[in-house]
Amino acid sequence: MSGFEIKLRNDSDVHVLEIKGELDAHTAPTLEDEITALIDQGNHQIVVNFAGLNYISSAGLGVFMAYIEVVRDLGGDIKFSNMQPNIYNVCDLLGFPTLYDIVDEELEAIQKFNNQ
Amino acid sequence: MADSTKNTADLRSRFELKTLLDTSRLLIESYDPDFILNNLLLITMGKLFTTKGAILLRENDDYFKVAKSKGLKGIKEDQLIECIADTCKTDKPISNLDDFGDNLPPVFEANGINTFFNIKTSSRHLGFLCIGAKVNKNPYTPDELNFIENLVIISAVAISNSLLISDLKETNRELDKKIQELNTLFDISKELNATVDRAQMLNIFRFALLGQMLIRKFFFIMMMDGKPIVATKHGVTDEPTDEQMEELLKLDRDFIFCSDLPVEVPFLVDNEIAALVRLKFQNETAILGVGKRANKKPFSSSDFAYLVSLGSLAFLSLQKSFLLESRIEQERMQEELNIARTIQTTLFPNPLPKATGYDIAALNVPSREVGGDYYDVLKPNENQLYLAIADVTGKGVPASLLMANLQAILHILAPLNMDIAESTAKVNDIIFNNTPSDKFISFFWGWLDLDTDEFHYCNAGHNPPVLANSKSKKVELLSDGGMLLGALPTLTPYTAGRVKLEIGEVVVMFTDGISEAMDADENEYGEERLADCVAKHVEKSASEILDALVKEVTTFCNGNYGDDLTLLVIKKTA
Repeated sequence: MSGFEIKLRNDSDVHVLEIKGELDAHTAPTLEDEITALIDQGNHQIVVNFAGLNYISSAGLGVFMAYIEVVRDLGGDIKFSNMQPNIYNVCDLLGFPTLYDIVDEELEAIQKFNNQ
Repeated sequence: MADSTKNTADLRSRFELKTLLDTSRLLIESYDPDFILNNLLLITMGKLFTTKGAILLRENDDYFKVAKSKGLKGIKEDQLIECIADTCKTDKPISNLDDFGDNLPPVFEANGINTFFNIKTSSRHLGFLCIGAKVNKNPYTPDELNFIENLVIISAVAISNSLLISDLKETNRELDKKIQELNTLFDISKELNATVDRAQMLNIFRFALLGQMLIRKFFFIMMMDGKPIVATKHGVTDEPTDEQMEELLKLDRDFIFCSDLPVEVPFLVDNEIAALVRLKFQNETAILGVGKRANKKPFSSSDFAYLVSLGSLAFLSLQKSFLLESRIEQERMQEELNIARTIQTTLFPNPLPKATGYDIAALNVPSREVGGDYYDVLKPNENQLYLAIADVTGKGVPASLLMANLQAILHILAPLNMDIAESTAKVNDIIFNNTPSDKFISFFWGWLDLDTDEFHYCNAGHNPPVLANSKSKKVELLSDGGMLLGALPTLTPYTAGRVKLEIGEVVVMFTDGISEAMDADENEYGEERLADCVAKHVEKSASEILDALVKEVTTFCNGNYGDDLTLLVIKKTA
């Protein structure tokens, strides 16, 4: 198993989650804990940088689905950036592009938050 | 002049040929149907000087779809138009309004559309390129129509190819989606198998529904021990009633949209549940109710098939976890019983104390692991020998706890050498205070004065022990005492009984497991048979008398004891 890692950085009010490795039903709870912690601390501007992620299953995407409404209701958003083509393909197949803001570069996502 | 006209016509025709060639190359090289259709329409409109045009493509046997529409009112792209080709003569290159009869929606005529180029390959009719009149109202010249006809012929091949490619792309995407779904099932089953924690299972299942199907609200009901239960739910605020659940579990098909249910179920309506999926495993049924998808897409039959697979996985895992839980519970109870049994065994005297001139034998056979019977033999000093027998209501751990309580009281009271009736009153008060009102103990005890051979006893509601004399063959019942222990506080004092044991006399104490053992016709063994049996074997040793009794009772009830068997036999030998 190649495992799964999360690193949290923040750029002013925008919090960036760098996710690496494989995000599946097994590792999804780790991501869930991280996201709920951010929400509990009142951080609602979240960018998920997918650069290091090489596998995602629908359970992994389920975590984002589970919290997007909560975050948006609080006036924030979860934006995705730096997806590898295979990851984007899965998101696309499952219909995520219509529900989420997916951008090429992390900076673009951060700027979108800052320009609000 | 004639030459110049000819030259102009030549030039014009060469220009048209070149346009046709360029266009055809452009179209043929593109695999994007949108690009091809757009160009075909734009070139046509430019060439024919018209501001109105549309392309209709055959969607299926029943409908045409507006693929492109420009400058038209009331004809929008992606709009479906009921089949207009059946009555239309599509074998000629160009059809007009009259060719459609009454089948064409009036909106075409209203927009001034009158020319319909048939787009077809050698084998298939693909659709129509429809155009309105020229801006300057002049009729189309045969050359102009001829040019578009040729353009349409070339485009038809390109359209057909590009549509095939789009179909392939769509099929590929569907396959990718299926692979993704299978990956999810694999991923989920791996995770579900690795856990027995239902909260974790619910989370995995929830994420799979959210991530794969974009379903935010769901509930899962199943039967558990003959009762419907909500095994898991998410985003659903209340729970269905038992009646509603039982009704839902009767669903007679694999899936149904809630709007198609014969009766409206308020729980489903209130929680915006869109569809129900039935899961069956052997004879068990579960129902998965799902809310709308976050992207508003309707559920397809393939989605339902997937929900059945995913739901079945969850169903099996939940069943497994419930089974495991009851198994663990059983094992825990077994373990507790074993502990209770071990404690109880240590409460019985082992070895039995010895007393000069007396022969003692005892037996306890619990009907379950932990019974409610108790006997004891204590020798607090050289002159006294205490004998006790009791039957606690109920069995198992509660009975054994009460028995341990009684044992402790006796072991404390015995060395105090108090009056037996007073001691019994004290025991009753303690037991009464320690136990709920539905717990009693029938109790007999007494102490033997080893110097005088006098037996001082008190019977608290127990089956009277039998005193048998080997010489006189007379049988006496030891019944002096009072009421059961634990029923009421001691209001009337207990009375003490006293008998002097002669050599050869035997006292047999027993519990109702002996006296109430039943034969096949449900006759009780009874105290009379017991007394007779004791009298018959009174010459024998204590353990032989005990064995004779057990043998006779066993034969009588054919080994089917309904209760614990307890016997305590003491014989004065010298």
